[in-house]
Amino acid sequence: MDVYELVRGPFAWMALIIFVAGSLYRIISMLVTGKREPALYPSTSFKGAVRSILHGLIPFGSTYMRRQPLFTIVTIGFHLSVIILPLFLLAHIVLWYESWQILWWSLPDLVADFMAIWVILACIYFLGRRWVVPEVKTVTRPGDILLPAIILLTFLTGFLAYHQWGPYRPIMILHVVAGEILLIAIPFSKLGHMLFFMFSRAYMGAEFSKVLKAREW
Amino acid sequence: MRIKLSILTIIIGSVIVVAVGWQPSMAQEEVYILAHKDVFGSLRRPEVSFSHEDHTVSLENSGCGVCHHTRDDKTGQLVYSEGDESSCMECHGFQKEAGTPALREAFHGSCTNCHRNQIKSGNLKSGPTTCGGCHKKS
Repeated sequence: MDVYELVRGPFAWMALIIFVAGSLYRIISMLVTGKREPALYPSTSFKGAVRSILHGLIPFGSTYMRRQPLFTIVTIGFHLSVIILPLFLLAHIVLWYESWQILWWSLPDLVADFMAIWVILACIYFLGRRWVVPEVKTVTRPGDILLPAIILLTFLTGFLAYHQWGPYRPIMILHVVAGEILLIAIPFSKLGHMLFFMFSRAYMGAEFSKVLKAREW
Repeated sequence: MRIKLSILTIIIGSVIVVAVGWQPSMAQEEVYILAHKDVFGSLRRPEVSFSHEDHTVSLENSGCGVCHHTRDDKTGQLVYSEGDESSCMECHGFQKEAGTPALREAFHGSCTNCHRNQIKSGNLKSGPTTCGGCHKKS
């Protein structure tokens, strides 16, 4: 079997199915097993929930972002890039068209390059921060090193493959496999904040605003 | 005698010129550089060096119609018409048009899909299926 065809065919299907099914399972099981607090005054505030989500999404919209401006700028660029880049990269769009005949617009290659470099540098920054900043270092577990490392590998190999620097085929295969590992890891690791951040923000916002009348952002 | 020879030379020469001129399908390059800047504008990937010779050899049994097709006016079907072989860009343009894929998708559909199907049917020595396999940076 051709290794590239194996990873871009059956492996990609496997990763996609595990990602979708795993995400649905995690979200549904969270909704089903979640219990309302048996309190006298249930502390739910829809307005507080929405405000918390918005303040978490808007750049510098919360005190925890304003306190660390460099980290905020790095992380905003990182998060925008890891979502936008894979979805709107020309190479990916061409592959989706070949498989499913779906087609949408692509990012200019220069912008894609810029985003890839941002992600690579951001991962190095995140890893360094886990090493250097004491309060971050104490709460660091192996997964916190491993996940940024795999993200770094995915975007670095993608960047190298586009420029055809280094041995093209092995780099391309590594790129696809690393991306598939990330996709599978989303529902089952800390990457799950992609699925859960809305719920956790909403819960906190709702709790704090109803009874305490406090802003948790 | 000299005049007769000259006339004969002119006649034979004309026959050769006309004969060659009447067989446009013979005018094949061994390698075509696919870089249709007149269609694509500036290229976003390196140009593709396509060996026509390699493909005529490997597709000897399947025939030229695997790639070369024209639309039959009556039935609307894609058919192979010997002697009418033309370049993909004669029909496929930058944008997709009713029933005719865009040039980029026509190339990828013919090249990558054929290579992939070859690999699926066990021929591991088929052509490339990765982007950089065809779009090689020089």
